[in-house]
Amino acid sequence: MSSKAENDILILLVDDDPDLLEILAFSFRRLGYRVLLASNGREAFEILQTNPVNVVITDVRMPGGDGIELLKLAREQCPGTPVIVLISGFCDLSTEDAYNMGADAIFSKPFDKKTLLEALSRLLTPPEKRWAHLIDQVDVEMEIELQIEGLSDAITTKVISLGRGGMFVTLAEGQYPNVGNNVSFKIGCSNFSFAGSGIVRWVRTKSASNFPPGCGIEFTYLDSLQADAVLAYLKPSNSKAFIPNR
Amino acid sequence: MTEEKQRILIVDDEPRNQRIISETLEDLVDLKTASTGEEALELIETFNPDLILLDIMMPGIDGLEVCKRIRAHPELSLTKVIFVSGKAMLEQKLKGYEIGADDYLTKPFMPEELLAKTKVFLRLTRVEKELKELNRSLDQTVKERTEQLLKTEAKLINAAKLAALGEMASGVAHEINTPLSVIGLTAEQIQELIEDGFVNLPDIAKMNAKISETVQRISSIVSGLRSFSRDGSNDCVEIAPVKHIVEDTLVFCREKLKNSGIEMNVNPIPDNFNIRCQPVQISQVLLNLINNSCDAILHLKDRWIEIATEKKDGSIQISITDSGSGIPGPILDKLFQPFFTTKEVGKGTGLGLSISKGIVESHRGQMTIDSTCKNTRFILNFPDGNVPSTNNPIKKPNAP
Repeated sequence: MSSKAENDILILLVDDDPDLLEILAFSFRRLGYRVLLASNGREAFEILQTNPVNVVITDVRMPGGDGIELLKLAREQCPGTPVIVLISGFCDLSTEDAYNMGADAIFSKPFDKKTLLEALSRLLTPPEKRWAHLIDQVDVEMEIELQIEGLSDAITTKVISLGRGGMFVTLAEGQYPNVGNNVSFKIGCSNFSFAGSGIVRWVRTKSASNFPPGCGIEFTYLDSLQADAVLAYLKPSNSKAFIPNR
Repeated sequence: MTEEKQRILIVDDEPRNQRIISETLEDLVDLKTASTGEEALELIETFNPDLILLDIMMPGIDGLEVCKRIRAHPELSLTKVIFVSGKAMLEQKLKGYEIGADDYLTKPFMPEELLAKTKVFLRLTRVEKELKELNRSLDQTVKERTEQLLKTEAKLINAAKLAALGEMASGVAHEINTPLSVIGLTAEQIQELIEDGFVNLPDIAKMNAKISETVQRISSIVSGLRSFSRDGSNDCVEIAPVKHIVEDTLVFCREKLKNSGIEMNVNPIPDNFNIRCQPVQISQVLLNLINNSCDAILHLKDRWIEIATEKKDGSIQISITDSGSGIPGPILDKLFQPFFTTKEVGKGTGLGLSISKGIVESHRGQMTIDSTCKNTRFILNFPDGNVPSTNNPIKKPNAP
């Protein structure tokens, strides 16, 4: 599971619903985590500045400082702290925007606690270890041959775009996978081949505004060489996006 | 402009006269001749002349009778009739005018005079016909525009309803998904505790109670939604407690109020405040007023809405006051007019208040603005539902 013992981990739970806070806090504490509670974004941000919080789990719509505001502040002030966003209404925030703004995981209420715990432990693992998991079953194989030199060219030409936890891939009409699919991808450049696997987190089928169609993939596996290349590329850019939206 | 030749009918029993007239006019117009009144009346059905040069003295149906029948003919209202006659007694002329002749030409006449008169009357018919055509197309345009406006109005009302529904659906999804999470997580937790053999009965009982309570919370939202999804105008009229109507309404805007940082104060409503109404319709009126208030005070520092009720002179009064500073005089007059809105383009249809007023009035109530209040206050007045009503209290609403 996670690299730290549970009782070393401090979770900040943010929701305006006291019942939800209560049951989540009960569950996490029983598993050994330490928990702090906040009923809105502003309260949460104050806690975040004065406490060594390891992960934030937050609702979006709350009176007195919403989750979007909190996410923005958290990304600026404590970029290393994963933020898990809980969406409850269907127009709170789109998945692609949330990942682009720096959310590390997104769950729609009502959500499954087991999946939440899995995401939690995955996010508490540093990327190079996190991307070492080979998936058992592949739903879609994606092979994109690029007539370009290397990774940085692929990125400058906007065919792919890398984030802290995944990538955006431009796709042609009719090649769309489904959200939740396990994909293996192979992006071939003339002197660099970039392969791995991941989970499709969102799909944009037709060009909305100026954004190209494509999908957002969260990495689950990259071999160590590629993981290093990705991390080396990301380090100077200081990317906030977990999965960029274009 | 190429124009159809105008048509003249010559009615004279003397071929010589027919010939003289024909020769004078044939280049100018489309001509037909008739020798008797009977023949003339038959011809006009198909020929539809602009001008008839009509002899008076003819065997059979004479010119006067022909003129009378022409004037009675619905299709020939613009046809000019000139009597051509040797007899020019003033009395006879006047009679001719009386039955509908337009002019007189006395035989014998100079061809130039015939030509000049003919031209005058042909010009007159042409102008009259153009006017009639113009009028007809104007009527048509007005009709089309009116139809268009009605269609647009219906569309706008629909769009406004859809927008309100969308906003509500999102609010409801939020209201329901959070308690659903509470139920799901609590149930999972109980399961885990049991599996772990950690059976602390008070803990489990507490969690179980939380589940029941949360189910109750969701079901009250759903039942409110069910009643709201209908338009309510065909519902039964019932004697409904104002308290319930207000509570049902608040379910739908609590979320919006919360997100907008607006404080909602509802003064305690006595249980015996009842009104005779279709409750869903009154809820819709309240929701509309609350939504309006939200939009109006959103940018203010001080944001609150207050709902109060009062029994006054046999009627129940519901007032909705917000922290705004009243409605400016010039706007006040137009407030209840359909399509009047102060919201920016695309934000409001301007129909809410006019529809609401229609609904309130169909319940024999009044909707007014309290201009003495330093804040913005709308007042709804309904007949006291506890006082038996002698006639049907709901008029068919004219609101859409």
